[in-house]
Amino acid sequence: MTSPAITPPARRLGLRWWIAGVSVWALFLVWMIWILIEAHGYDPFDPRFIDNAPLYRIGQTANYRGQQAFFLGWSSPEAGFRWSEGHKDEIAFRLANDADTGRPLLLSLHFVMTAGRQPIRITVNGVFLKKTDAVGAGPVTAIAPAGLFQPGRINAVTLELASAKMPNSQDTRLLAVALDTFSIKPTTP
Amino acid sequence: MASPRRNSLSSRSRAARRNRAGKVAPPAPVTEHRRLRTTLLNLAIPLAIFLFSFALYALACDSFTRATGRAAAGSWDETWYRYIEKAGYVYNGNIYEQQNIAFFPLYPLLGALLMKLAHLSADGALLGVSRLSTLAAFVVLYFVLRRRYSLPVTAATLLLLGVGPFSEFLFNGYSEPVFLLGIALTFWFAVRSKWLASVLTIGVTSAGRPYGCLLAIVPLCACIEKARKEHGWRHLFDSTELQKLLLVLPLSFAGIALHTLYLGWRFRDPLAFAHVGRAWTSASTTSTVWNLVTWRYLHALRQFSFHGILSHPQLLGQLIFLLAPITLLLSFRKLAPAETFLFLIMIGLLHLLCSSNPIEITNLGRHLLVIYPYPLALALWIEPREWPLPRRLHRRIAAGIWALFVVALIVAGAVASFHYTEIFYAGTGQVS
Repeated sequence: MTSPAITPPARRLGLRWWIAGVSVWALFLVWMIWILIEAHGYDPFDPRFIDNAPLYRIGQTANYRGQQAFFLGWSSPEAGFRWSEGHKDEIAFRLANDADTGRPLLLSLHFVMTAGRQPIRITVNGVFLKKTDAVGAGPVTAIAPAGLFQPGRINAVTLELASAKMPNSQDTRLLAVALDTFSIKPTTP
Repeated sequence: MASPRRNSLSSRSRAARRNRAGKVAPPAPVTEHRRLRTTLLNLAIPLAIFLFSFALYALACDSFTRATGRAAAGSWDETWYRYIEKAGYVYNGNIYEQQNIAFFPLYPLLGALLMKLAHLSADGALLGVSRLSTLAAFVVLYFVLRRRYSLPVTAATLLLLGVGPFSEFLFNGYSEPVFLLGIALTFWFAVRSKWLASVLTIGVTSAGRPYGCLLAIVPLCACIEKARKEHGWRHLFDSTELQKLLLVLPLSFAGIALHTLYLGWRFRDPLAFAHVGRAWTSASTTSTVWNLVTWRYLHALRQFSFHGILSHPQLLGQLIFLLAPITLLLSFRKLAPAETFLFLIMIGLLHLLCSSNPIEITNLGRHLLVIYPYPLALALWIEPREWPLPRRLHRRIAAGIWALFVVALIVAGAVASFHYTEIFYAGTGQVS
């Protein structure tokens, strides 16, 4: 690299510039550290978000739209149903503090269609519940033992769908089951 | 390396300034009248390109009918921006539900301001901001480009921006024009060595797009280049301009920082825009790069047909995506380093954001749309004077390619616009 013919003499910045610059950098670093902490510690089930989470009441029949539950990993709602997407999908919801979970509960998932025969592994809050096959329209049910669902907290129903597949070359989603409603009801009245 | 600025005077006027002895006569004093005429002429060119581009969009998209309200319900992102403009941000904590918190505030804020000042409807104000930003961006870009490049290259760059396949997003109520204006102003201040103004512009722009802060690379590179010329590499930091710029550089994050503070205060989740963004992300789709690596395009090529292009204009977007870095590398020596660097950084990030389905590739197109070094590279590429061929021959070849290219882009733009219009206004693109 050729050196310039005339090099202007080095000048020093005034104190005001240094104070302003150091303040800007200090604020920036504080903000960056805060954002990194927030990003690293993010958890969708964080208690801070519980108040915002949709409330599901035992006995209700909830639909696919998401007013009563989070649909984690599912595709966007379509006309009358919502496709699962990928090999693992969750339905998460908050149960009221006074929800009666001290007895066995019947979990029922109603599908309007499936992408062929679909083996489904169902877990609730990380506890294995049932392995079954779903074909076409119809419900899939499982009985949750007493105490598995927890009142006042976010509960998660996980579906593991090993045979999810692309329906055609135009639709690149991995689809397995199309859900329209789900419910949790007492097994005995 | 950057091309030296070309003289804007034509060869005829240069010849007129020579006397019979071949000596160059002193330039005539610039009168107010002449200055006004030059300014008006300079404004007329970007304005004409803007009007041509808008007319093309209007023809393709039935825009005038839309403005009367037939399909004025808006679609896709414009719906979200209108919602924010009227009612502010809403967030229920469900990160897998599409919510308006995923969108950044600069564009709806400007829309709300125009709505209040001009007593416009929410839809009209957003469209007004979007289209005025496009016009302003064209004007600013014109003056930025004219400092470095010839009139044909400058006009061609704007024309390529205005008639590209995804130029619909310059007029349809999306936020791209505001971002484009931010980019143009950043370059405008950077080429005039107004570093603080450039950084502040980036700070504001980052409230429109989170990756807007990446633009900080532009004034930084330009300032380093200037300091190197004045002081050399060894004494680079003797430059007070560079020292000042480095001190204020974090201001380029001001917009996104203020937005995260607001989200943290209001919703207790400063990164809510990123978290809820998952609702737009499909887990099973793969990126264009991944498709390339796994030879998935071979299958598409076997089924290639003209009808295929017409019915799936996303292929056009993918083609543009693939051609962009090649074109850029071919033009590298003639482009300013800061612009090239910015482009490469952006394209490096964009492939992570974009997938292979039509919606995502449309996103790719509109994100690429605002990175003007790409059309600038194309314009340089087809500039006759840049060709190492005999003068008469290269003029003819270049003129032919130029004409073909513009026609192809216009056709592609029209096809893509028709296609997206169909999606937008047939209801399938409505926000649920």
